[in-house]
Amino acid sequence: MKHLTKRSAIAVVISLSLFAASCSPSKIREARKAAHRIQVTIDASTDSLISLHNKHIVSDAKTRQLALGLQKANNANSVLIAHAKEATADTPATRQQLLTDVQGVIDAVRELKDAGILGIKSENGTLAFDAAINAMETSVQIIKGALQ
Amino acid sequence: MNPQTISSVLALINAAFALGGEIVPIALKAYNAIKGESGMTDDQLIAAAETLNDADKQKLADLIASLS
Repeated sequence: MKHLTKRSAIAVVISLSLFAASCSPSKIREARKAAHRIQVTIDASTDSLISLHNKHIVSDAKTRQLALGLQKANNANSVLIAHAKEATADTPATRQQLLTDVQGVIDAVRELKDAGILGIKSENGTLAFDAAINAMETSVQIIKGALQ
Repeated sequence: MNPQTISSVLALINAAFALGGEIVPIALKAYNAIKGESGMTDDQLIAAAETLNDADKQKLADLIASLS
C-alpha cells in the first residue's frame, strides 16, 4: 500500500511537471513584452511628430496623415495588448490569435512607412521619425518570430 | 534587450541629438522604458502598455482635432 501511494505520488508529480512544461509561459511573456515595446515606440513616434509639427518641420497636412497612421497602429496594438493580457497558456489557438493581432500592427506600420516621411523638411527630422518607425517595425518582427 | 531593438533605439537617439531640443528626452524616455522591461512582471508590462495606449489614443485624437 505504501509502495502504491509513493508510486502514485511520483506519477502525479511527473504528470504535473509535464503539464507545466507544455504550457510555456515565456512565449506569452514575449508577446506581452513586445506589445509593451511596440507601445513605447508608438509613444515616442507620437511625441516626435508633435515636436516636429510644433517646430514647423512637418506641415499640417503631413502631420495629419502621419497622426492617422499612428492612430491605426495604436488601435491595432490595443487589440494585441487585450489578447496578450487574456492569454494564460501557450496553445496553438493563442499563438494564432496573437499572430493575427501582430499582423494588424504590421499592416498599420507598413501603411505608415508607405505614407512616407517625404514632406518632413529637415533631414534630421526625417531621421528621427524614420528611426522611431524602424524601432516599431523591429519590435513587431521580434514578436512574430517568437510566436511562429 | 534584443540587439536589433538596441540599434533602432540608438538610431533614434542619434537623430534626436542631431535635431536637439525636445526630441532628445523623448528618445531617452523610450530607451529607459524598454530597458526597464526586464524588471517588470507580466502584469506590470501589460498595465504599462495599456496606460500608454490610452494616453497615446488621447494625444493623437487631440493632435488630429487641432489640425481640423
